[in-house]
Parts: sequence; C-alpha cells; structure tokens
Amino acid sequence: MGNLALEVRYALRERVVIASLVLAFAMASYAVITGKLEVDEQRSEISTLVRETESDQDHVLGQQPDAGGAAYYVHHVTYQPPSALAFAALGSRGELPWQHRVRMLALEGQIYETDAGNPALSRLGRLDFAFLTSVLLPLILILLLYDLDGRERRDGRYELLSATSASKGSPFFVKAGARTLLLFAASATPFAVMAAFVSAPLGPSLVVAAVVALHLCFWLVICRLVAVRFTQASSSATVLLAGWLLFSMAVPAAARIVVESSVPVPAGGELLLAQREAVNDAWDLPKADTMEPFVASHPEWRDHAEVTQPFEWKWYYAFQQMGDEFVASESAQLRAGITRRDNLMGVAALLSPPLATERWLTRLAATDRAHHQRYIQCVRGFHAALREFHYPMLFGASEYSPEKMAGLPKYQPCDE
Amino acid sequence: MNSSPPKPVLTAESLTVDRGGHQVLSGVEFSIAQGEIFALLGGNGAGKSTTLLTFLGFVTPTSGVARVNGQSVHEDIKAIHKQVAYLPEAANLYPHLNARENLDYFLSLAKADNSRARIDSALDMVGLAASARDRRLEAYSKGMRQKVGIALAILRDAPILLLDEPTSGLDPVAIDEFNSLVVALAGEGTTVLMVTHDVYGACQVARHIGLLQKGQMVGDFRASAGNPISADEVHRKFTESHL
Repeated sequence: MGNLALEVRYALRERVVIASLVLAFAMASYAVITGKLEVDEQRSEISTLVRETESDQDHVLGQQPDAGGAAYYVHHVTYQPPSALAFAALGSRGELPWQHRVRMLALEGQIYETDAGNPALSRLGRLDFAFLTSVLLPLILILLLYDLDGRERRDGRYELLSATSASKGSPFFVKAGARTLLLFAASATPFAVMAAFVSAPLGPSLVVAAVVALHLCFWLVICRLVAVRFTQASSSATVLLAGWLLFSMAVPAAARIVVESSVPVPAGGELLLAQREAVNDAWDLPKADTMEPFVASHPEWRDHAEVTQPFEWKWYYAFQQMGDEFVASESAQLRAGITRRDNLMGVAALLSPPLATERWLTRLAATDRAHHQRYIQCVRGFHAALREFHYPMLFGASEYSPEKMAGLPKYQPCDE
Repeated sequence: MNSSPPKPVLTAESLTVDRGGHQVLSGVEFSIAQGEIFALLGGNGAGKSTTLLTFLGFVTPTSGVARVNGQSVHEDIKAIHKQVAYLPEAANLYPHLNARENLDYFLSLAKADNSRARIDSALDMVGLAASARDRRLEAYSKGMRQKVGIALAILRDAPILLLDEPTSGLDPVAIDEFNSLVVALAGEGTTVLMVTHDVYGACQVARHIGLLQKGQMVGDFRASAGNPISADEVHRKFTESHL
C-alpha cells in the first residue's frame, strides 16, 4: 500500500499521466452531465405527457355520450420512468421507446408502431458513462501503460528500479496499478458526484463503481501480460490495440451476428401490419366471424355478445381484441426471442469484458433489455385493466355514465 | 592462533553466459571478501556489465553460479536485492523530478530511511550544490546526475555496492571525491564490485582487479601490504590482451 501511495504521488508529476487523467475526467464529466440532461428531458417529457393527457382525458370524456366513445377517444400515456442511475447508462432508453400513447384499440400494433421507423435507431451511439467505461477508458489505460516498461528500459532505469524495490511484487505492477487507480478516480469521481447529486441509491452506485474498477483491473492485467511478453513499445501498443479491438468491437459484433442469425425473431413492424390487416379485414367479415371466436375465448361475455345493428361498439372492440389475439403467438415469439437473444448476449459477454461491463451498467441503471421488456409487459397489464374497466359498459352488463369514468385506470409504472 | 581467510561476499563460480549463440562470459571466476573493492576491468564488450547484471539476477548464467554471501543469486533475487545497492552506468533517474524527489522515490521503493536530513547529508557527501537540489534532473549535466545516483547508492546503506562505470561523466575533482568515498565505505565494511574501463581510476581504489577480455578472465591483480596495484602493469596487460 505504501508503494502504491508513493507511485500515485509521483505518477501525478508526469505530464502524460496528468493529460490522460484530465481527458478521462473531462469525458466522464461530459458523459454524466449529458446523461443527466437527457434523463431530465425524459422526465420532463413524461410529466408533460401525463399532465396533458389528463387534461385531454377530462376534455374528451366530457363530450362522450356513450361507453364506446369514452373508450375510443381517450388516450392514455404509459411510460418507463428513468431510474436514478439512468444518467450513467442510457442503454435501451436511447434506442427503444420508453413511452407510448395507447388507446383501447388493438394493443400490439400500438406497442410496435415505433419499430416501423424509429429515427432513434439510426442515430449514432451516445457518449454515456457506460460507453466511456466499457469502450474508451481501456484505450486511455492502454495509452498509460503500453510503454511503462519500455520507457524505463530505454531510459536505463529498468534494472535500477527492479534492484531497488524491496517489495515482493514487481515494481512495474505497482506503477501500473497506481495509474489504473488514478484513471479510476478520474472517471469515477464525476459519476460519484452526479450520483450523490441525484440521490442515487448507495448500494447500486457502489456496484457501478466496482464494475468500472473490475473492468479496469481486467485491462491492467492484460497490459501487464503484454508488457512482460513484448518489450518493444510499438509491439506492445500493437498487441494491446488489437486486444482492444477484439474485446470491444470484434467479439460483441460477431456475437450479435451469431445470436441474431441463430435466434430468428419476428419483426415488430411485420407484427404491426399483420395485426392491422386482421382488424381491417374484420370490417368486411360477417359479425359472427368476429363474435363467435371472441366469445369462445371470452365466455364471460357470451350472454352479451349478440350484435343486431350494422355498427356496435362491442363488435368493434371485440375485433380489436381478436386482432391482438391473431398475432399473439408472433408477439410471444418476439418476446421470447428478444429474451433468448439477450440471454445469449449475456453468455457472449463472458468473452468480452467491455460488453459485460456495458450490460452490468445498463442492468444497474434499469436501462437494459430485460427492464424494457418488463415495461412492455406493464403496458400490456395496463391495457388489460382498461379492457376490464370498459367491457362491462361496452357489452351492456352495466350502464355507462360519465361519473363512472372517474374510476378509469391510471397507468402506474411497474418498476416504481 | 589460526586466522582463517575472510568469507567471500561475492563469488563468481565458472560463470558462463551465452546470448544468441555468442558466449558473453566464459568460465569467469573470482571472489570478493567483505570490505574489499574489486574492480573488473575490460574493454567494450568484454562482459563487465553482464557479470554485474548476473549478480543482480537480471542475467541467468548458462552454467556456473553467482553467489552473494554463499547464496545463489537466482534462488531468491529479492533477498539479494535487499543486500545490494546498484549504480548503473548512466544513472538516468527521473528527469521530471528534482534530486531530493528522486532520492525520496527510490529510497521509499527500497523501504529505506528517506528523511530530508539524510538525503541532504548524502548530497553533501557527493558534492551536489545545494542550489541544484530542487531543480529537475532534466536541467542537470551528466556528472550531476551521476552524483545523485551515487548518493542513492550510498543512501541505500547496503553491505554490497555494485557499480557500473561509476565515474563515467564525472570531472577529475568529482572522480577523486568519489574514489575517496568508495574507499571510505569499504573501510566501513562495504563490499564493492565496480566495473570500469578506467585502468588508473581502478588502481587508485581497488585492492583487487580482474581483467576481462572477450568474456574470459585474463588477468588477476592484488595489492600487497602497503603496495597498491601497479597501474602500469595492469595497463600493459590490458593493452596486450587487446592486441
């Protein structure tokens, strides 16, 4: 420990160390500040949506003469609120929808509507803290360590250092450890300050710091192994950069290709089209073609399923629900496929510490695929509650009255 | 009363080192007693520095053994390093640190007393001007840097000194001061192995000189009671061995 403190003290006298630390600190600060601004913007958008939707609901409900109109014209906002640590790892919040405006219509199409053309998907990745620590920090560490031994050899200090050190371990490992520790401090400090500022829970925040430290330790070991094997700075740098490319780019990209080709998943956009076609076709079919299968799967409405008029709301909502059920199997396949792909990427992450780091950070920040899937399930649960609320009035089991609309389900995020 | 010969502190037993098919050392033998100054003389490429690095454990002999106090160097290198202070040919300490900081760093690394008073005392001994001590080494001359290196070797307070061309770059006055210092340290019991190509400097301080030529010991000179080693004799042998 004494030697580590000594190395830290004297490493801070080297220009290249100071420059690297300033760079890491600046990038980490930028990452957490822009992450916080993004999360603030999302929170603000959620709060605006909730406020505007409530106001819109009050306005619309006041004009509806019947249950069908009240169900049809009212929009509901669903959302996945960002966690306290989301500023550090935007993850799925940067590429998948974290809010929806849903109606009592067929749900699956509403969920996957954005999959047909989401501009966020074509956007370049963000420099968030997770990206910084999983991809960029190793590069800075390589810059700090690739020539550590080589420079001492060239300057004629290698033998002197080795012969002078009284510690059991290599003095170069301690030197490298000190630089790694400083880099960790430079990058983790902005995170810690922001975590404290947003009152993030201590436990997960400490785990984030531990994940970053572990990732840096992995690269420290790699740098030392390479430095021992390759004494020329150019060879050492080449091997380390090749290793960085392998672990940070090649393995994740190859894993993604293998996983996506081995686990086929129906596209959300196709699911949307299939569901819409099923709904649209229902307009041209005899009503019995909709109501009989509906009653078969929802026998509780058997006594209220008779349709005598050219248009009845219960028929309309029945074929909306049948549209959902028409694509239910594809939707289940999509969910299972996404989960399977995510699990396989978790296995692949065992071969790529940068990928593992990114996955850990998004998991801790509740911005990973699993949390997004839970949000989508939460939307389904809310939509089911809407149907449960509206159906008695739509099917005539109870009378519609505007006062009853006070009991309209309000969306509550499931993760909160 | 029987007086047994002093126990050797440093011993080279048939040291042979091959590197890339080339024999750098070939059956080198010598032993150095406690408090003795042994100078290993030789021209460029004679194997002097390799011999020294073998005693530090940085070069592994192909055959033969380098021993420190009877223990093979390669059995426990760290234990050997604790007993040895090493001064490389060019004492390239850290150029971005000043003399005091360099000494503080290396002494801390060696877990030795790094008090400022002790450091200043050693810098006084090697004659580094007080005004220079807080300047970065990048502004030092080669001789000044060498003085800091010598101060470090002294401050290590080790029973064995391994010196690689220690007076290289020093002016004549500094060389005299250094030689006096080494003699004084030997007088206090420090064992010194010094490699150099400075015949006259070696004869001034050493009581025992080995002449190395192409990895082989070709000469062994010892001072007798009251008579130093003859520099002329060593020089003649040195010159002959290069013919």
